[in-house]
Amino acid sequence: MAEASTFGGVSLDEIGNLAETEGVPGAAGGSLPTKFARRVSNLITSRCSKGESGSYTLSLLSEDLSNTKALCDHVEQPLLDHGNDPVGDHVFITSVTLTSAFQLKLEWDSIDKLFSFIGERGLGDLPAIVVDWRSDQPVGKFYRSGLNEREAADAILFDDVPISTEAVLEALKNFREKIKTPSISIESHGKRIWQEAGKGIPENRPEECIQGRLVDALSAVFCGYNVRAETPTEEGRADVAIYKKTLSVNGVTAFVCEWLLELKALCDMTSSGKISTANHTQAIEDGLYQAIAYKSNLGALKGALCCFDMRSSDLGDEACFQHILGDARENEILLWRGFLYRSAKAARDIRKFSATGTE
Amino acid sequence: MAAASEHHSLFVRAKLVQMFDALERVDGTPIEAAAFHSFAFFVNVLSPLWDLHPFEGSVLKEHGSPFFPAVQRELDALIGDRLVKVTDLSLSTSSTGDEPKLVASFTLERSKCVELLASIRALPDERQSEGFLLELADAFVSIRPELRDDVAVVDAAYSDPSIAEGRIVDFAEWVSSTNDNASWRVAQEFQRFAPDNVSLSRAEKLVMYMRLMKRRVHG
Repeated sequence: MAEASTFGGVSLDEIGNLAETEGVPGAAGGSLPTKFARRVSNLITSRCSKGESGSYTLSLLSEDLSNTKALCDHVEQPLLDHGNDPVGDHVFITSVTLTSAFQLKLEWDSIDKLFSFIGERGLGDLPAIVVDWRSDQPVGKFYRSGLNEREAADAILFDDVPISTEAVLEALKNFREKIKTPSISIESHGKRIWQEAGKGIPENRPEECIQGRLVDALSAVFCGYNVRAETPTEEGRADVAIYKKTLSVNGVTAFVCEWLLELKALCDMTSSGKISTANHTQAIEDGLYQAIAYKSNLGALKGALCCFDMRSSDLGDEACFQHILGDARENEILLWRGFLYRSAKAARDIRKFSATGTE
Repeated sequence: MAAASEHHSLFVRAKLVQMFDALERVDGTPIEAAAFHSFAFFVNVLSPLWDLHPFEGSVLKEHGSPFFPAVQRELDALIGDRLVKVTDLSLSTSSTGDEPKLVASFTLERSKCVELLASIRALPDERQSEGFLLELADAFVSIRPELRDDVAVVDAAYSDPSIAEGRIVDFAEWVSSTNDNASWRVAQEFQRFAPDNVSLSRAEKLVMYMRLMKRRVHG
């Protein structure tokens, strides 16, 4: 144990007290859009308990607020982050902390008209969250690249039920969409996955690169959860664990691991440009047993093995997982694979062949 | 010697532009000079959390918030180069009878810095640095604007009672920037209070540290 004097003017009690009362910060380490998504989500949750009404709320994130707010008539909403102002049927442009917020003066009669307004005013590239209040529970959609790219949206879950398999599959599918080609994968200053994609050369430790980005993406989707990388267990470090903060019967804060994701990047080249000697069949099998072990170690409710296939040919899920299907089913480990193309052309070709049925 | 000094000057200037960029992206500008020095202080004491080397290893402990002469010198140069602009300049009067002071607020001249920032980002390790500065800026702006200049005063290293005013607070000059840096040690100590199976990330330690600072300065 460190001596109290090594903490300078801070006492050990202060450190312990802060850790106990504030806990682990949920948004730490995330990208600005992810922090924004989590803060808007908290605001929406707080508005739910206050009986929010209306049809939609649109929140836009600006990293250059003084200039972007000038693109549209607005009124300042300085206390938006307190959660006491109505948000239904309003459009906001805010800083990442939500402490600077402006309500845009827009009139619309349908959501598509609203989206058009946003595009016309040059705000279509800003990360956006649309909340639909028309059902019992609000439903959120997060457009990380803005409303100009509407097909790339993630659902944001505001309800308090455990994360379903469908929700995880949807999140993984959307994440794969963001990294499926080398050019898409480096948008928004994302960490590179390929060193020389055309030759199939991955970055050093591609699994780690994917892990960091996946944690960020999942943190924005599962806003009420703590998504953690490298959780230590008795048998090694779990790649990704999704925790729900809860209170035990004694009133003590506890973390329940709802999902454990074990990641594998399958490459046929090394980062130094040599042909990989890795045995992928074995690596997939090892991944399954790691997932089984970590799921058990962490007491996770569900587990999945997620393979990011960076090899030259897409052999399909069956060829990839055939040898482990029985064990995966028996141990309730979900198997998921996402193929990453080495060029945008390769992705287009597959789409073309699929469309013409000549594959 | 002159070349080394020029190199350091350029390095600090680039760092300041990155700091302004991070603050601006989280709506932390315009920022007053004293608050900017306070932010610079946290950049220095907490950068070892990211395995980054602080650009200043020590500071003179004075009455009030820390002040880095090199930061001020390079900030002035950036204003001269029109990369940073003065958005407000006023004379502050003190109720305690101190001399009136010129108080200035600054913001980045973003359009002139786009290429510069792109060049800095392309340098090895600078993406790492960008992530650190954004995380710190995001935590820093959660502190009320009028207290941002004072928050460094309550920092673990700066508020160390064993260092009197008029003495040097050394957190990386002649000592280890980790083990001999009280701010780093406090940030690391949060791990001891983390729930089972939770290994705190460097970002979590940084945010928890800044929340502690916020709690201390907000009172």
